Amino acid sequence: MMKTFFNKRLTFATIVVVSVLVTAISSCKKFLDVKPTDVTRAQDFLGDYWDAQYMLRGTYEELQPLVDYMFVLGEVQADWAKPGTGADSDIVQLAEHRVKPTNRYTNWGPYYDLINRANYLIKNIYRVPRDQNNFSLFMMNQYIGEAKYLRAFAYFHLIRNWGDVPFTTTPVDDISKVSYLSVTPQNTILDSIENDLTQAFTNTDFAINVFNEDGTLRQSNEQTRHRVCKGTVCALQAEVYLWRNKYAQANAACQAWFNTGQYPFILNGSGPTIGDHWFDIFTLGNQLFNEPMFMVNFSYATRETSTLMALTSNDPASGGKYVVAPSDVAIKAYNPNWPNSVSVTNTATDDAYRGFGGTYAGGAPSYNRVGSPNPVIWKYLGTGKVAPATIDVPPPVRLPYRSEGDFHITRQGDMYLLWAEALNRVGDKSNAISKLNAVRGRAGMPTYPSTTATTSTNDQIEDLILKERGLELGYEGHRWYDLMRVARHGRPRVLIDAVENRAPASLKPYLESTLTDPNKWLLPYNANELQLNPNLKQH
Amino acid sequence: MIRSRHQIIRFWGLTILGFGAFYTAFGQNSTSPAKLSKIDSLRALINQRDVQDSQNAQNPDVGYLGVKNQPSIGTISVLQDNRFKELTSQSIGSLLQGQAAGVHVINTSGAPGSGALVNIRGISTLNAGTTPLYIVDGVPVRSIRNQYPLALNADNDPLADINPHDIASIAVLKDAYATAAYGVRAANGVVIVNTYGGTSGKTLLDITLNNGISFVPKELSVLNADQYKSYIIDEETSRGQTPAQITSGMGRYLLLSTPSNQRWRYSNNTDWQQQVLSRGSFNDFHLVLRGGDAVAKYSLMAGYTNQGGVITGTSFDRFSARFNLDYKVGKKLTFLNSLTFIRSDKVLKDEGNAPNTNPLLLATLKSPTLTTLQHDPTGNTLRDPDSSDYAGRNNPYAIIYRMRDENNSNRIFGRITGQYTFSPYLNLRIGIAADFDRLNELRFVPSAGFLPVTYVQRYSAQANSTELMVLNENTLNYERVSKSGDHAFSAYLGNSFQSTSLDAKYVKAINSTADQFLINTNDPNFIDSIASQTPTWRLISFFAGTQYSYKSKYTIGANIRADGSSRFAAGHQWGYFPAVAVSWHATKEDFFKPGSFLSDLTLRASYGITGNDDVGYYSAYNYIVASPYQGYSAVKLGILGNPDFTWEQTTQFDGGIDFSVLKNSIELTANFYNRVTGNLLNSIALPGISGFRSYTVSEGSVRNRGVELSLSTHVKKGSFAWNSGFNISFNTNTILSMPDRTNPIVNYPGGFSTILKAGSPVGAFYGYNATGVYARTSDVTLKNGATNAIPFKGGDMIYEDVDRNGVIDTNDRKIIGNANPKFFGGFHNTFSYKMFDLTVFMDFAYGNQVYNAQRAALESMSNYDNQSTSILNRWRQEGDVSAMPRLQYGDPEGNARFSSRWIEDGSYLRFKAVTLGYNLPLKSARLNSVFKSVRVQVTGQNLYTFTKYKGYGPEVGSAVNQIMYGADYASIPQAKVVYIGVKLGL
Repeated sequence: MMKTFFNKRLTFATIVVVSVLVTAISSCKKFLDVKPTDVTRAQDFLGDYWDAQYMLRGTYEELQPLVDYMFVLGEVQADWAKPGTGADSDIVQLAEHRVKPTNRYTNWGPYYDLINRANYLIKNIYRVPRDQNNFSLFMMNQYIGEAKYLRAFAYFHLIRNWGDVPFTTTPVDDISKVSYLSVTPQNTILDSIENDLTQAFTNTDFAINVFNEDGTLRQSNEQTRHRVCKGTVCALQAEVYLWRNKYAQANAACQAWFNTGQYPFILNGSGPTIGDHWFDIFTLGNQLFNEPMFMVNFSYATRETSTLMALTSNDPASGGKYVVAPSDVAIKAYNPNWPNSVSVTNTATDDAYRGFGGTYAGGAPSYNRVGSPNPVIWKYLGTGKVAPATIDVPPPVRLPYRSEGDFHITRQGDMYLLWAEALNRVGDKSNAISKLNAVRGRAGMPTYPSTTATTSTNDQIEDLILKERGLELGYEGHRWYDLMRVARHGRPRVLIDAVENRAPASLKPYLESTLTDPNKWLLPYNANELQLNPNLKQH
Repeated sequence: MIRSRHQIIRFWGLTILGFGAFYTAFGQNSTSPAKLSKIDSLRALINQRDVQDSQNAQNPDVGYLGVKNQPSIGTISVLQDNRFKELTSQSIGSLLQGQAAGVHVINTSGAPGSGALVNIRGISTLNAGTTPLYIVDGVPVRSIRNQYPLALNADNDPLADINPHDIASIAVLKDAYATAAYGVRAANGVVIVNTYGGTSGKTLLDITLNNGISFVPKELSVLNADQYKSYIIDEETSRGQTPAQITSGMGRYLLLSTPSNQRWRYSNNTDWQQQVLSRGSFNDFHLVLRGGDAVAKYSLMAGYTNQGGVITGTSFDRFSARFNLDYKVGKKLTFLNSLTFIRSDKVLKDEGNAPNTNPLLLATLKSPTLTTLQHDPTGNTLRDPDSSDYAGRNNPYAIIYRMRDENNSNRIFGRITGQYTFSPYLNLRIGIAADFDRLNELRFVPSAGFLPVTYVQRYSAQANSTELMVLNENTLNYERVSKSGDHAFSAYLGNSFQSTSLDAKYVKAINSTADQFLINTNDPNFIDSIASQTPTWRLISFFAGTQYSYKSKYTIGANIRADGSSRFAAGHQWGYFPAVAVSWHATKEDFFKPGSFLSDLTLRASYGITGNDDVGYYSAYNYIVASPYQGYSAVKLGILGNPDFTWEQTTQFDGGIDFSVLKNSIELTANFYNRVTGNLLNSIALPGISGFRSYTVSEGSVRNRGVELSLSTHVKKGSFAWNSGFNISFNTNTILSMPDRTNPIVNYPGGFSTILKAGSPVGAFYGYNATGVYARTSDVTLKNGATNAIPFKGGDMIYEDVDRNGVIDTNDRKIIGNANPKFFGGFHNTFSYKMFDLTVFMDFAYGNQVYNAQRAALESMSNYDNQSTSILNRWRQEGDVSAMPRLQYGDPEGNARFSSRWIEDGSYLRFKAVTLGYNLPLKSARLNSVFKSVRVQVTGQNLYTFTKYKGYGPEVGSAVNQIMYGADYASIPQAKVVYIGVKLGL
């Protein structure tokens, strides 16, 4: 038996097999460690400063889906817009202030996506090896500052839409981090927002510098508008402080913004020599440096498009669904004689630069027809101002489906009017009027006389500012939040009247009874979210 | 569980020692295999094949379990070539239909070159792959379909690359003992395919020539132009239009107010189904040359197949060549080689749920008043197809003649195995195998006849995917029988390394200058999208098995496989798949007298674990994915990885009895099995505050339990013989558990729903139960939704109020059907009389339901699509009693909602193949000197189907989206084919 066991052939075979196996086992681990080439494992990422840049830009990317929310929630609930003929029930619910928890705009996912990306960057950016030339400590802190701004920005929108919301600064990078949070009181979140913004102001730069081919730095006008700088932070600070009735701090934030020295105000719309250039704000984008401060960029070439053309256009060939249309109230605010006529020069009441052909226009195919039955919001459709005419001329309209108009999150016009609001409330009426007049003057409108400061109450000046914000910033997603902000400090009629004036008469009793309760200004929590998160209870 | 490397080494060390000990125990008293008595186990069918086909005896293959000298104790169904030679199906999967107990096959499409869905012993997954593991001559071949074919929902079954004429036998491994040897890939079963090997001595040349046609399937009855016009007028009336409004509105398209220069467009009576369907041809040539001697054996096969489909213009062309060569180098060393090359070309069309590009679906929905080609005012036909219409429907003629979907694939696979024979009992095999497949797809959607989709007027898309699998497998095989013949022992031990990488690329170019150009060359502005996918996955395996048999009465076997897979996170890569089996061959006991009524009785049982690793590649880790911004590169944390993510794991018990009486003239095999699959691939929804929407988990379980019966009879009387094989399988499938926080109701595109919750079957239809039509408005007692905004009226559907609250809403949905048959099977008969033979092959399925989505569109009566003639009997006025509800534009009442109204019985019994053959008596010496045999035959496929199903055919489903069980979006029916064949043996 032993003889057979040690049979030479078997021994040989065993040695062969064993050696093959041993070699095999020792290389097992390496063999099974397959790094994918079409995606990257998170653990293999953030290895150099390029990765850091990609991750930062990917955080900003989440602003793109939020544009839909900012536009729809900011406009449809307020008085400047109304549901168009293509509005679905979700849009009508928002316009009528009877939003159900199943409404798609109650899904706050995209805001928290932005928060999670910001949280992830804040936690992980330290992994990028630092070096003085490419990724200095200053640069790393700048990235963190930008992420903190974005986080604050998302939370500020969340609390304005929903009130108390779940609050986290921990990135979800593991299933155990998925927490089923209940809500945090909004004042706690606002404190955190203020804190984040203070740090963001400290850490960000005055402008964005990018590398030249030779490795030296230059200031990029384009990136300065697409990324967060100190001035951008000030704008959000001003709005947050105003929201919290902290007028002195709001005024200080505006002053700090001015002190950055980055924003000389171009009065590009005033005077016959400069001409009617106000609409360039929405078309020139990168060339018109001083007006835009922070905007969301879209690029058709890489198929990054917004929903704005589908929402606002009435031309099916462009993919327009005419979901949101300018309200009669808004149109009359620009051009009181519409639909009969519009003035071609600015008068005290007729806004020739910002009105017909600028903020809104006639509907397709006759964008230039005054009194068109389907007026459209023009800011995201036009490539130039439309001149009112009675004959059809080829309109300066974006090509079908190329919904790549920039969406301004904040710009100097916004900033000046926020400043005016703060000054008015701290008691400096005359400076408030001068900021207001700067914006009016830029749009070629007659300015308010300086005596307005003495003849008007604070509330009356606030009304003028609010109206100017409508005219200047129409359809840029501010309107509903502006109404809420003013209404919140003791003037709820401003909001209620505005919404009622836009709505059909039959709806007024319902709106009157609903909107007197400030809690009804908020959106309900989403039904699906309530189902998935047992700790969240409908408010 | 064994985890560390040291433990693995120790494990193998012990196994090798055990191996040696057995060798010692049996080494002394054994005889050489040549002297062994033939094992007469009925079930060792592979051995029978060796007997039948002695030329190939050296190379039998049912995988690792191919033990020659012992009863086979795994549950394996083996099909010999005579069972599928006559079939015109071109894919291994479809050849298996009705052939083997427990193997449920659905031919989801009758397009030429399509494959089939094969479910062995029930559906054991919810979201993972269902494809069995296919091994062809030792090569685990690519069998998993491309999930995103350019031709929507068209089957691109990689198994259609293998020419059925090359196949000598197919073995289906079903129980855990047979499949556990394949570990983490085996839970869906294993199919082992053997092609013809060489001969020793004789040289044989077989030439097969088949020519035939496939017939046009029966058209569905839809409205003609006049009926359609009055239907549209009723439709417009139902939305409150006055006759004057109708005349000036839709009347433009109904010749009521059509401008004279447009009349050519709307004054037709086109039978669109006739435009889309046509007769196909079937041509098939095959050649096998086999020969060899004691040193080398070879077989050379070449084939060409051309099939035309029933959808006009579709075709499948395949050229295949295969060379198998076994040769000896010296006394000890043998090389086993095989190499296959296949080129196949397909012209195909969209299928399934693509209402505007699936020609068969669209042909029934397109208005009959419209025309194929444009006309000039004098009535002459012009060159251009008519444009898309007022209902938003494309022109089916343009889909058939102007839209292009073409595929071709080049595939090479083969292996080289060196076998070193240490002794008659022990050999070592070291093999390498590879499978290379390149699939090129082209799609072009022109402008003429098509509705533009957003900014895309026309587009062309191309996709190229290359998959390369490389395998090294080493096995040591030992097999010995003691001198007394009482003890038989075998064992194998081995390891393998397998690496597969896919490189798939896709590009879509849009808006070329004109329909004559696919792309504008060198113009980057026309590139709309580019995508690529390049996963690589690897598998390391160690396996061992042993089987012992005492006097052929008692047999016990055990095997284990350890698989390490790169698809899972480090530390979670290794799985262990053991199995055991026992059998008792009762008739070998002394108390059974030879020659008694009972000629054979064997009892078997097995138990073991297998896995299913077809669960994707990207679930184990956190992944960074691209999210470009401003046209620059940018990224985000896109996938939240689950480090505990794992394969699906199936535990299976199998009990069987083999029984034959009257000198084996009646043989019965019965099996019972219970399979429980856990760690199901599932996705749970996350709250929005997490920053993610879903998370992949391995949770949930499903059970399949069933009985399989196979009966074969052999009758021979003089020159008459009748051989039959009947099989029937009963399977019940039940979801046992689901993860928390999943929504059990799953809605599929196309409007149908299923429910996945404990207690339900996989493949249930979940919807409203329609019980009739209200004859009068006064009969209505139920509210339509809580607010009853649009109340039910006379002529609306009556739905069952499941929760008895007087309101019909989403809570009144229930399970209204099950896509799984209660039983299915086949009946194969061969009658022979002298030189004639007749084969009759039937298959059947009973008790399964089908969602007839095509009928749902054809009877919705809510839009401008053409409708079925059945709507002529619709409810029209108060008091009408009809099963067909009223017509209502837009269907505000929800009469067409997903309900039992669209669920039909999918049971069928079909004459799948009938063949009459005649073997020429080669009496003349001149013929005899040339031919060894000459056979002519005529075969009819799918000659008749008994079914109540109202669609084109009862076999439905989606080859691409396999979890959409039982939904029929105008599936292309199985063609009725008649062909004449000649087989020459030289």
